[in-house]
Amino acid sequence: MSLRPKKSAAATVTFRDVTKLYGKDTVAVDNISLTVEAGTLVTLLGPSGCGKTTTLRMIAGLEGVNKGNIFIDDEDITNMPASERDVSMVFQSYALFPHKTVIENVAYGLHYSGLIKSAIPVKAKEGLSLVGLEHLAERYPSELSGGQQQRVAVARALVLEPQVLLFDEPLSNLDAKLRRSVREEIRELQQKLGLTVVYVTHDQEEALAVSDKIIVMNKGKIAQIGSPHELYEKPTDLFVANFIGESNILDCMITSVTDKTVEVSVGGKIFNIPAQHIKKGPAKLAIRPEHISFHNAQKKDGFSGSILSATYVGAKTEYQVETKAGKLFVMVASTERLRDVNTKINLGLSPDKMLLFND
Amino acid sequence: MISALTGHYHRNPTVMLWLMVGLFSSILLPWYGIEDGFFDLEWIIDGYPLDSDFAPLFFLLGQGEKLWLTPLIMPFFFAFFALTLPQRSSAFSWALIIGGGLGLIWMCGQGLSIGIRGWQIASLQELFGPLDERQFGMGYGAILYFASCLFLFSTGLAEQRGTMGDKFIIGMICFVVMLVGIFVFYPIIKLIILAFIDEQNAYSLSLFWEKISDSRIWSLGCVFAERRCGVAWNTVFMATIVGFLTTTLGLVFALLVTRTNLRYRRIFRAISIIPLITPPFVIGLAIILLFGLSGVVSTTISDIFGLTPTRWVYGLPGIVIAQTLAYTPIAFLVLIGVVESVSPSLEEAGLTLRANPSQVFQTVSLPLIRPGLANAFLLGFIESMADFGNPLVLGGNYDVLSTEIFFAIVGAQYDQGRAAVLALVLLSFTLAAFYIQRFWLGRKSYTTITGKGDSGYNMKLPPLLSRTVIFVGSSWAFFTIVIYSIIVYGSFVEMWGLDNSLTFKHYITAFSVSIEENGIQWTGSAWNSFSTTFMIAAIAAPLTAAIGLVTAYLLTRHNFRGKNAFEFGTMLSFAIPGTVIGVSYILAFNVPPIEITGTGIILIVSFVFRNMPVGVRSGVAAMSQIDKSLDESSLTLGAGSFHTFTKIVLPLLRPAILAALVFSFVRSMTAISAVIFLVSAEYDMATSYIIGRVENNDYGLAIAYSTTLIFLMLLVIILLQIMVGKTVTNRRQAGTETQGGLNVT
Ligand SMILES: Nc1ncnc2c1ncn2[C@@H]1O[C@H](COP(=O)(O)OP(=O)(O)O)[C@@H](O)[C@H]1O
Ligand SMILES: [Mg+2]
Repeated sequence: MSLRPKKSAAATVTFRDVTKLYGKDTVAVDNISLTVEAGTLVTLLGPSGCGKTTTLRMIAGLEGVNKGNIFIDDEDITNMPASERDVSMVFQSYALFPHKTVIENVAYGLHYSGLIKSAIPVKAKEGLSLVGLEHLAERYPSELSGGQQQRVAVARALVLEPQVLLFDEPLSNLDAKLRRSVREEIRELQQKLGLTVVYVTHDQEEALAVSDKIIVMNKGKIAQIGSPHELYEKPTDLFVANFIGESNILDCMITSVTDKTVEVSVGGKIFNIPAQHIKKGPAKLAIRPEHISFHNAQKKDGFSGSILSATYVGAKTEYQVETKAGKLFVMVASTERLRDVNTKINLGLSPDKMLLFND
Repeated sequence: MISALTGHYHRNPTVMLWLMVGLFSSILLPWYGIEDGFFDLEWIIDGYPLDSDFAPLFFLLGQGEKLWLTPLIMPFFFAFFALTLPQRSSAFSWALIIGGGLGLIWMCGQGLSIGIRGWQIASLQELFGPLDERQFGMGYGAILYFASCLFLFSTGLAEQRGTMGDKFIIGMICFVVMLVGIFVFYPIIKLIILAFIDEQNAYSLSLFWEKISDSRIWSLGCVFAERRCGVAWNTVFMATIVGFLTTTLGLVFALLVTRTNLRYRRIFRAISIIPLITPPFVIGLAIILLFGLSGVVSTTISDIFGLTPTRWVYGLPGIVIAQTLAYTPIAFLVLIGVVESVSPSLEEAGLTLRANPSQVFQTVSLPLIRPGLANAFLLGFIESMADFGNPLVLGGNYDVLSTEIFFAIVGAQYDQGRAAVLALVLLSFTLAAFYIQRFWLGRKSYTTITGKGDSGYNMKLPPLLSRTVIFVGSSWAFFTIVIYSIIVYGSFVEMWGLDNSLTFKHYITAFSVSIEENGIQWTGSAWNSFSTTFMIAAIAAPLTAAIGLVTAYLLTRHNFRGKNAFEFGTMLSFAIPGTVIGVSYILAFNVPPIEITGTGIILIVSFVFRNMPVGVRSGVAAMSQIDKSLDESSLTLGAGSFHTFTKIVLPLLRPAILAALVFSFVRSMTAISAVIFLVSAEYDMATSYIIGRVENNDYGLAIAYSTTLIFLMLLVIILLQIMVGKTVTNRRQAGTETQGGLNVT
């Protein structure tokens, strides 16, 4: 279906030791290297200000690079102007041209893509139908709802069949109800058309839901790259453990390390857990709230504590429990019996779910 | 609440207050204006309270004089009656509305029909027979009485609207409407009436038609024959050229400052602003010093090429150059706002969609700026049409409406009717432009779509355009610098073109001071007008800011019926050229009921209402930034609107207040077109004094005085700037600004 003369398959994006400074000493992106495989959806995830947008804008060519190189497939595009890159971007604010109709917006990029004139309206209509908005072609952006504007922005970027498609927090201007369906649509389109997509978000749930691969960023650096499952189950550092899903972080002491097990002491209790890459000495222990359970009986291997608060949130009930090791956040299925505040309780922590990190 | 609980013992305090004010003013204060001046107090020992010149209302009536004032007692009865009624009842509010309304209507009716020579309106004279009594303008008593009726009326209205009504708000609305009615609409109506009146004081449509279709106004002789065109076409032609040039240069400067990498582009901002604080005709003077018969450029060229200098600059070319210099800053200020409000992400989107920078500039940036361009054009058009000083100084044989109006009134012709007709022609042009600007453009401008903004930078200009912009901008900035150097230098030259030796003579003549035994003697010839100007500007500025902000508060924070008309009315005076204001003010205010020509008050009033739109504008801009929930929270905590306004909103408005103050002050110091009609021997203003010097070919003094004014205003502005501190705006969050209807003048 491609009417473009240029080859346009989804492409690989590679960053090699890229650094971006604002002014003299604001390091927005700090020496990162990464690869986005062709045809995959990769998410840049991290707290606000960690450099996600900057990274994305460097791919688009809207931001210069201070050090390092960026490649699309094997071509070094580090110094190529934005208008010559085969990359399209869906802006956070959509950036629809207010003085052009929906169809004119979608057709805009086609005019500069070396298409024959007569092919442009056809392609533009095709693009609009991809997002199901053919019937709104003659409207102006100001006459559309937020969700519709967003689709137009997507269509405008899609019709160019770019080698790489970029999304900067595409859901942030939508209301909560729409978010889930729009993110599924984006994912569907990406898979159907086999696009390479780089997707920026600060919402870990969104990232887990749509991505083939997630790149977690922190303070301009890459904290971890992996599949959603890897990041959730095997975070390699404390920041990721805390940022993806919720974790209880406790101070602990590693008392012995063998090939098979690690012995760790937390809040006066000793646990033997399967071997992890860890050194002896003071460390941090992370455990997810759903991996802590309530024991009724007076079992010996648990923590004893008292319930500070209980919050019923539907399928789950969340408890804050005061223990010797500190305050613990516990999530229990609501099918279990509800416990009152101030109840004394014993907690069971499964050793094989504990993650250890050196300070 | 309290009054409801304790029953009828607690009367409505607002009604009580205004009733007391009304009684006080009619029992104690002289009803008519005191001839010796508003602030003269000699009347107290001069026959008051019985002498009919100084008597309060009740004393007049008691002595059987001015019996047509008798119905003015009615509002008091109604107010007393209202006080006996339960509050919140509809009878209570109606009593106030009818009482206050009667007072207002009767005041206007009798005031307009009976004047210094008895009946003012011929048909009434026939009906009632000649009147041997006469009356003068309103004095303290009448003014306060009028106010009390107004506020009784507004209180009644507020009560009508039940809980929604707020006495303070509705009172303020009525007050502003009344002021705008009296000082903006009434003079214009007078002007229109005058255009239809013949020598016998009778209405005549045919005469009006004859006057308005005059070939001196509409002739197209310059197009179809070797004759001159009518003033109307001359004016339109001039204003169109100036509008076009100021818009182009304004855009060049705006792009230069925001979209190029030029190192010193901030300086351009400063340079392009200076003309705003210059009396416009001073630029005209500088043009004469450069290109006039004995101008530097003319004489140099004639020396080199052996040509005799010509008078080419006197006429359209000179006016256009001077006005373009003078009004480019306005276009610049409008356009810099517009250019900066083009959301960076739109341009970036264009780039990622494969358009190169110059294609993006053409297809995205320029279309988004276009409504702003039209806006700037219309502002330049209006300013040029309204300008009086430059055509007067430089016009030569090129007649334009503003100067024609002036000569019709002050010249040998003394033809008020012709002045009125010309003024109407001018007014309809500017109103048409104003209408287009507000309604047509208002709808066309693109408001940014809401949503969290992307970060990003506005695109720099494509290289070729960038070079052009820098070249044109620098040339024009250079020209501006030359003009101002000439002005400063010229003020030290003995006699321009004839005797080029340097001297302090002009400053000494204007501003000399001698110390004698009985204190400092202000011997300089300029001191009189200088101090008057300063005083009047200093009084007018806070009043302008006050009425502007009150209006802005009403417009942004309250919904009421007729709000759009209200807004239009308050902004209207922007489109009324100073010349028209000047003519209409002398027509309206040199006869009762409001007699203020020849006083300082008329100058103050004219400044306040001319500059009011700017106060309103900056107030509205500032208030829409302040979250409404802020003052709503204060309202729900039990504070009344008045308290909200003074304690919550006002303090947050400091920058807007200062902007309005500066603007109004500068305008009052530099304006000439209205002023020249309204000055008197006692109240002469700097600008009219300078124009007088120019007409006597005393350029040295005129320029020295102007230079002093410019530096003085710079000083004032810098001081104020330091007081407010600079407001820093975050350029990376451009998305939320609005563009369009910014009026800077
Ligand atoms: N134009 C700019 N000038 C200066 N600092 C900037 C600019 N853009 C971004 N930054 C800084 O760079 C860092 C990364 O920003 P950004 O990439 O926008 O973060 P994110 O999109 O992850 O929230 C932040 O600290 C931000 O303040
Ligand atoms: Mg961001």
